[in-house]
Amino acid sequence: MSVLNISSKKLIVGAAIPMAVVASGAMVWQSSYSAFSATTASPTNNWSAGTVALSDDDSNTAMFTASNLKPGATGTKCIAVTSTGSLASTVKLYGTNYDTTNGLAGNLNLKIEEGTGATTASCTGFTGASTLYDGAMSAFGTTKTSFATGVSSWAPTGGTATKAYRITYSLSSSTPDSAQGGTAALGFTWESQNS
Amino acid sequence: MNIHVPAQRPAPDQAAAPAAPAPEAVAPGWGRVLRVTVARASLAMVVALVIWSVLPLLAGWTPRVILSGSMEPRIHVGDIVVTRTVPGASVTKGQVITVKDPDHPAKTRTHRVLRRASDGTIVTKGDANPQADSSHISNENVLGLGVVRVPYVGRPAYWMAEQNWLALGATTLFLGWCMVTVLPGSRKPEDTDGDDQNGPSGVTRRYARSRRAAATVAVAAMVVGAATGPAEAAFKRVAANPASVWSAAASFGGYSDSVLADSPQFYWRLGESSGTSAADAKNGRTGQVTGTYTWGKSGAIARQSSETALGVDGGYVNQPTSLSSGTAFSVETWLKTTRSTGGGLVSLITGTGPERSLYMGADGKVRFGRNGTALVTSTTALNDGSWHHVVYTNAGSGSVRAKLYVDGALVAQSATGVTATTSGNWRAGQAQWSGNWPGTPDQYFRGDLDEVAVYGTTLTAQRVTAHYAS
Repeated sequence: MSVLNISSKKLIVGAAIPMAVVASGAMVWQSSYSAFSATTASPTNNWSAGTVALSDDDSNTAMFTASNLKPGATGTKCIAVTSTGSLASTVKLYGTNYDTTNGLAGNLNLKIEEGTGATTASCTGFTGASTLYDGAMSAFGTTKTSFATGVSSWAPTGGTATKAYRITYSLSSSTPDSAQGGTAALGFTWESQNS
Repeated sequence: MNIHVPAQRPAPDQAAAPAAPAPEAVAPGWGRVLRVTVARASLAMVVALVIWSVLPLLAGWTPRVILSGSMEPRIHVGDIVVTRTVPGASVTKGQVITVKDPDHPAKTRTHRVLRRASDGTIVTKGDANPQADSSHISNENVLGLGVVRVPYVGRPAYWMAEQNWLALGATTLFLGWCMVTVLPGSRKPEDTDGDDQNGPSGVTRRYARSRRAAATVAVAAMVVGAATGPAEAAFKRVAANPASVWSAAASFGGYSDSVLADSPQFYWRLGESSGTSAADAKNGRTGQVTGTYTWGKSGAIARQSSETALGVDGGYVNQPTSLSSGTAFSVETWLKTTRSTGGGLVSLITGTGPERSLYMGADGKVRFGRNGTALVTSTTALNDGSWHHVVYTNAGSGSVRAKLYVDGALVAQSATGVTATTSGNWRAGQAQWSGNWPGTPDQYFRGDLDEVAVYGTTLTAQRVTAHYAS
């Protein structure tokens, strides 16, 4: 009994290392397999690692739907963008889905200002503006297309922070008749990345 | 996998020592067996994982600690991902690659290949990110292809970065306990029935093993620290506003629409290319062009370059139809000149000379006057070679009856306006002055004229501005 006991105990203790080594190999293989061979899985949201999160107050409605524009036409809207991630991050604004016909976007001036205070599209209370962009919409749509090329240097430190953006378009009074009937489309996207 | 063995089990020359007394000794308790087993397995696991993560270095592969969760749930924070150098052109959809972070210089990013963009660049995406990365990757910025993922080993690096001393301390304590537990000498305080009979030699051996174990773990920690790169992956979230849409009017109409909307008595666009007639765009009151003039001059309306202007140099346009002009009227024209002689711009001719006239003095300033008296005078000279939009409005009542606008803005006004109703022929470009009109104008305006209009109403400031802006 005692001998058997000692033998089995020695076996258990002795097997611990080989078992651990084999287990580590299996773990690495399984980890590698799931990470590199499998396709993506639905992400979960309970990471201890922290997150970045960004939202806006547009209710998923486009800021501008302006039609029948004539030279000299102008319009202004505001949007509030809120960062609620737990990680420090940087935020960039860039254009998506840019398109134009008859060269209209080349005659539309786009001015983007960053500030605080405005909580409605009407820009009531917008203050502290710093101009992020002031130029042709066509140039914005073709060059400000990603996080790397986007504008703004907002760097939320984690927790809740909000910035207001005032966006103004104006159709140049010298827009040629060749732009008649033209269209322009541009989506505004704010992207937050952990820094 | 035997590299760590000396630290974990007795060296061959010492193997007999613990084995020899064992039969005589009372068997260790199950609690001790469990502790030793857990400690041995834990240490072996740690060392094995460390080796898994640094062994690929021999093949020239690169281990990196993952510091953000953007690849969850496939790759966790604190994992080590080992990458193999591959040509950027060879990566395909679904592979996990490490690239130079296009958004954060000097950092790297480990994400999955989503697709190739139309320009050949690689579009990547973190599994945990809802959207693809906005910045695309060119082939030469691909650092490697993920081939091995070692879980947990990079956690200390992550804890250091996060300054999570609690987790770091707890892990260190646990590993320390494991190390102490596997050392034979440690039985002494707990299991007096152990091999205390080893005497001094046991103590020596204990220290030797202790040093070797500590050295192994320290070396492993250093190797992992030195071999693995820092931060990886990038969390991203976007707040996207749906695409805004702007569409231009089918026809800008522009300037002429604005003028016609105010129903002028006549409106000479002066866009003809030849002939002696200036068409009226409103009421068919064609003007007659006489003297020295040139059609087809560059027009005043910038965005309607096809709309040309009339150059006059001793010529003028005359309205053959006599019109009655009362106390509510407006006169509008575009002019361009560099001359310092002045001249009649738009005047109501009665008999041979003007009764009321919009004209430029020899000083280049524009005036409106009646019978030799100026009612309003512009503040600046307009003979600067640029097109200027000039409007005079007269009201029959009110405290301010005469107003002069230049380029859409009110520049002069007077309480006194024209107070009489007169019939005559409107004429652009010439006026045969009788008496001394302020500013000593020449009778001929020498320069370019465009878009001449006369109204039987008093244009408001808003309309004048709208004309200029359109």
